[in-house]
Amino acid sequence: MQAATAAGAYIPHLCFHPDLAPHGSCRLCIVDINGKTVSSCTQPAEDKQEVHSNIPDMQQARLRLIQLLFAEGNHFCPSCEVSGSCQLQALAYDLGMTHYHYTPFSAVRAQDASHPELFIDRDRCILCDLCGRASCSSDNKNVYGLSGRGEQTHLIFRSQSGNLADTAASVHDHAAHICPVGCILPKQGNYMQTIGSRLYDNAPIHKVGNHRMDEPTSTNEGHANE
Amino acid sequence: MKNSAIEWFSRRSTYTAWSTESAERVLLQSHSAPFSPQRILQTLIVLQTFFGHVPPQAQEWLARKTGSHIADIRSLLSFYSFLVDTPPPAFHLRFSNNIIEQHAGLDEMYERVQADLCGTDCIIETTSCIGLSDHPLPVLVNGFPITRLDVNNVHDFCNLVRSKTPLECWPESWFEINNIIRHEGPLTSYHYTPGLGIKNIQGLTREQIIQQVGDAGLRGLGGAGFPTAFKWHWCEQQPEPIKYIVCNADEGEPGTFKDRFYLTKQMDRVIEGMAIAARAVGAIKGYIYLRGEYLYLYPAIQQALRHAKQTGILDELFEIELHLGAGAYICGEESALIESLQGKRGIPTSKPPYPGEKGLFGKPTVVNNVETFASVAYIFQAGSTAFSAMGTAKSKGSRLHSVSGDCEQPGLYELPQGTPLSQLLHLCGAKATQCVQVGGPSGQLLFPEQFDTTLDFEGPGHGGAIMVFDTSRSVMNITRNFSNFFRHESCGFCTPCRAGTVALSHLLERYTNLPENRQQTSNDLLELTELMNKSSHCGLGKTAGQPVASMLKWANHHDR
Repeated sequence: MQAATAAGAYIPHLCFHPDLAPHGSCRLCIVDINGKTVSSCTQPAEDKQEVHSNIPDMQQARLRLIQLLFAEGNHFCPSCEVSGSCQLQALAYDLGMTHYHYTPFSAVRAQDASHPELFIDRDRCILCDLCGRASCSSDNKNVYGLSGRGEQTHLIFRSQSGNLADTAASVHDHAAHICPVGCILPKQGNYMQTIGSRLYDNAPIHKVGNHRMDEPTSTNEGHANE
Repeated sequence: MKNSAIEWFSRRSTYTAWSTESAERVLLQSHSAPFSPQRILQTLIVLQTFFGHVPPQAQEWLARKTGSHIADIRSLLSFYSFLVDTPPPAFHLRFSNNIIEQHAGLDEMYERVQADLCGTDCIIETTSCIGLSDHPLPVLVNGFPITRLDVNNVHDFCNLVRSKTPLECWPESWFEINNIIRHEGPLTSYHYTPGLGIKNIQGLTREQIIQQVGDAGLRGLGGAGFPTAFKWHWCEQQPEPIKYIVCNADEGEPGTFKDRFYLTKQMDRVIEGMAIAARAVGAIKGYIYLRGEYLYLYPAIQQALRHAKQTGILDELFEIELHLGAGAYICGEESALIESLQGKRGIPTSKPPYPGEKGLFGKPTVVNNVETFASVAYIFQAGSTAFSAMGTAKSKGSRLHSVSGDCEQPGLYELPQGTPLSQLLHLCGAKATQCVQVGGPSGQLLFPEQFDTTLDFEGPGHGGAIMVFDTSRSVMNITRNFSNFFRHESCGFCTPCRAGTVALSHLLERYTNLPENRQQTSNDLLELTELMNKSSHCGLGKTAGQPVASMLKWANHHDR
């Protein structure tokens, strides 16, 4: 993934972040290497490796994965604060998603509004563990984690009560500003981006890259998709 | 482990009330360092077995003792089906819900028991295959399997539950497990001399030992069929001085019970195979990961380990520790198993690095199946030529098949690699066979025109599970059962498996309920199974769509 980015090729992804250890869970960054499909974020680059990413097969697979994520969570873009800056939504547009395709799972997921600075909407969580990894390695706090098994997998906060308020989480943490969707939101300064000035309003994600409005400096640049 | 600890893993139905004093005592008897964070899963399993649950105060106490976070302990409980935090009822019944049990009348029996025991202090639920498909209907009662439940004794069974009769006083015959080999072969019938294999490798270099395994042509018998010598060689080559041997006894593939035979009858050979592997790669310690469903084998395996120490097969240079699983199929995947051995949730890790390079505790590790280690013992007792003389050019040796379902003689069959499926069907007395699932749900469903398929590493499914279905069975029901199994056992890590298994069951419902849309649904199903196969993180997700793909192929064939 990093080799491809350095070479100017954008590979769609959600759970990868250049500052953190790769996870390999969203599977969007799958590429074809010698007929084998692998996740490019966990695959070490090798000399003379022939990698196919932007081919119809892969793009179709990615579209379906995005549609699975949409069906699994409860994503209502029109009312979501990060609409227009959401990486899941931007990839859906980029991959040409026009409909759900899979029946929504309509899972009941608990929210957490206990924290004075942060609001958690698990309906939008895609279980990428970016917050968990950032909380460990960037913030040294280990606040966020994943629990449960299979379709019951869910985001947890590592406190006695299970509430975010009882953790060391702060709005200034890296983890609070890494969510690729609208699951972890600050309680202050909401709805500041007007339509037209949002991250993916004027250019698609394969040009803009996987950014956040509040995270201007990143090596995670997007590039022209060749 | 001291004798008292073994007793807790023996059949019992009375639990002790929670107190930190008894917990401390029990744990210190179970292991010398029960509070090391890496042992936390084992510690939880001991507490579960002793107290019947792990109450919140126990979790908090354990968090303090081990220095772990309470959230991590809770997340272990949320991952492993057999760990519960609510007070135990007098009896916890878990009916094995593999398709074989369903065909044997599970649903009727389940409803009958539920109706009979209404209002009784018990929990009735189903669980994934418990490795007794040759003994329908099996049910775990407080973790111990009853193999003789039928219409004749279900009344007595319910009475014993209702009267809260301790499990120790239940009819002994109900717990009997038949490990008879229906068709013997060299592996199951050779004259075993304890320690002879170890003696035979004396004076050999590591390379020479591995060479012999390679000459024998041994390949992994857990399902993947990876050449054993290659695995060992790779691990041996690592410069790291600390290495581990792991025996995968998490026989979770529905319809498989051949490892149960080795663990019950030939544990000495499995241990000797592990000891040989340890010398071949230079490992200092071994682990056996026994699935929680096989809890009843725990005391005997501990006994076998002790015996192996007395006879010198195990010594201070190589010792083996027995670990238990707790109801998670995914832990049969080698990297998930390694995670579980380290006391974590069983989430498969990314490969590379492979266990041979970076496995248990970050050290080079060989993970082999129970039957593979038993075969190693055979190779070094009978000689590698004896092993390689059996089977075909590409698939050497002989192996055990677990046969269940619609046949006269379900059970264990040892056959040389390359035996045609039709021959096995003949041997087990299968009549009017409609289809056969080879290799468990992650294998393939074969129809009569494919019965000349050979059972070997070139054929479908290498796990040694054969489930036979006659013409009275519904292929759709079989498919639904397997798909539900994968949905229940997905670890939830990656998108295609976690969400794909759910979407698959939605689509299957649509396939059944909307015949007018069947062509479209069929296309969607096929596309999804291909997506899961292509993009999943591990073998579970890659094969979870296989039963549906088989069914669609069959349906298309029939429509034509």
